[in-house]
Amino acid sequence: MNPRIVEVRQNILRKNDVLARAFRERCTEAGVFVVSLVSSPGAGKTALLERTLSALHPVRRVAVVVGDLATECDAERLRKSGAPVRQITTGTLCHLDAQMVETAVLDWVSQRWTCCSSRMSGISSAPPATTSASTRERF
Amino acid sequence: MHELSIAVSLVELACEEASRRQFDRVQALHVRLGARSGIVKEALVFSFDVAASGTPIEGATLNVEDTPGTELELFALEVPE
Repeated sequence: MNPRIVEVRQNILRKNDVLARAFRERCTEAGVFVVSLVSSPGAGKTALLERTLSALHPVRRVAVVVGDLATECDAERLRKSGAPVRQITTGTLCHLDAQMVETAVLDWVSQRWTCCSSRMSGISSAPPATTSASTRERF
Repeated sequence: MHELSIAVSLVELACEEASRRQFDRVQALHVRLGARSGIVKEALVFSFDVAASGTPIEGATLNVEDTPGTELELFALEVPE
């Protein structure tokens, strides 16, 4: 018996793209400006955020969600600015998907924080260019 | 490693497509994986059996075709005639 091959042609991360699009629309409607900051480890994401938060907080309503595999080290550094900071720890996963980010910042969006910055650190298994592109879609 | 969560997404998508098309059994999945997708093929293949375990497509083979771009696509389902 010969098998039959049926074309599907669907993006595997379609569900994430749909969630990300809905989340982006929700942020736009609420007037929340979201920045996703991604780079290789050691490039200076946390340093840039430290400077940004100390320049903007408390004049602007800025908040940060940070993603890391295990520790709260970056969140602790950023909390010194006084701005709200949340940490997502992903365990063995090295990426954040749309659902994780949305869950972490949902109340900030509804409280209309004017700038909510989201980032992730320590991506070493994926080429930065691709990761930036896909992460833009995720957030 | 993010391939396990991608394998889970792949299995969910394949189960949805199979159910929508009323396929009782899926023998194989054909996936196109771009060189610039950021996904490690070996890790995806390794994760697939774990992700498929206990689902309607458990036991299906995963065939991965290497492509040059950023593709991450379930291209086709192979089902009994």
